Amino acid sequence: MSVGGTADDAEHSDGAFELSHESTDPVDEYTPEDADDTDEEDDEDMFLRRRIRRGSSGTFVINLPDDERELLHALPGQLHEMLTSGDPTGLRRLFPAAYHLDPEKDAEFHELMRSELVASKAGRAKILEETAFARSLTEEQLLGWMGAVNDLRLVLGTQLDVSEDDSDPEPDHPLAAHFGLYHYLGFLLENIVRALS
Amino acid sequence: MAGRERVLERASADAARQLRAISATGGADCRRMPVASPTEVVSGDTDTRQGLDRPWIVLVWNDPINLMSYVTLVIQKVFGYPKEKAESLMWDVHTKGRAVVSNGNREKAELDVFRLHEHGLWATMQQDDA
Repeated sequence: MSVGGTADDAEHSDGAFELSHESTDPVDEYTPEDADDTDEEDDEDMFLRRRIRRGSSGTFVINLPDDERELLHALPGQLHEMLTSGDPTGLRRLFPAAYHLDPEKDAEFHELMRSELVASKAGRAKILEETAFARSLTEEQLLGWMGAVNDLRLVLGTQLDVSEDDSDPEPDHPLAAHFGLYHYLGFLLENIVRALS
Repeated sequence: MAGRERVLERASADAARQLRAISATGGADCRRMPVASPTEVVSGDTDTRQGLDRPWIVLVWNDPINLMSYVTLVIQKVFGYPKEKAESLMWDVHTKGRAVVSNGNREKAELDVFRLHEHGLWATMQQDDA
């Protein structure tokens, strides 16, 4: 497993995913003035808390710059496309073996469960796509964000073949530019998890 | 929820088949049947022939992508465990490579694995060899 991302990890994100999204530097717009949380906590925690935090009456306040929201609106469509295209490349981490000791039972399990698993993941991608510009979310919606962001990380992390030591790729790695996005999604996920914990 | 319904239907069919198998052997004690090593892939309906009373365990395996905080929260939410227990399981996964997060009959284990896969955790199930 890896620890949560930091703002530094995310700052080089170029917003690319599957080489087709054109937004640039989704987190560059962050400025300290965005802070409106005056809790006396350490700097890192304050930074994390200002993006997504529990609001009143069971809702969650989402404080993200518009270009990050545009990115979060655009990415789920690509995930949805991958989920429904039937192409297993890059998706193996989303549908791991259940019976790792018994291929026969495993095939049966996937036959029974795969379409429901796809529907669940597609449903969460749709929630993220539809609510990417919302200023406040219900817990159910934020759980949808959490699942979709994690699925995106799994797909991207598998494509990038990331390792646990979290080291940056060689500069000539064909997908090196995508590591920024991978780190950004980790940073956002850490925000979401903290808000929900 | 169609998949879950099918699992339950199959569970019912499995139980009926097991009962028929037991009565066909005159109620022979299944526990005397040889026990397969969990490292071997065994073909055929092993549930029916052996280990009827051996519970299934659900394992979560370490992976380089999932965040530690995320794994803790998922284990808490899926199983309703207190945060301390979920954190301890997460650390087991992280440091030992895997941890048993739940156990029960085959149908319960399948639903647990499904919910963990739903959340992107690398979960598998096997019959407890203890």
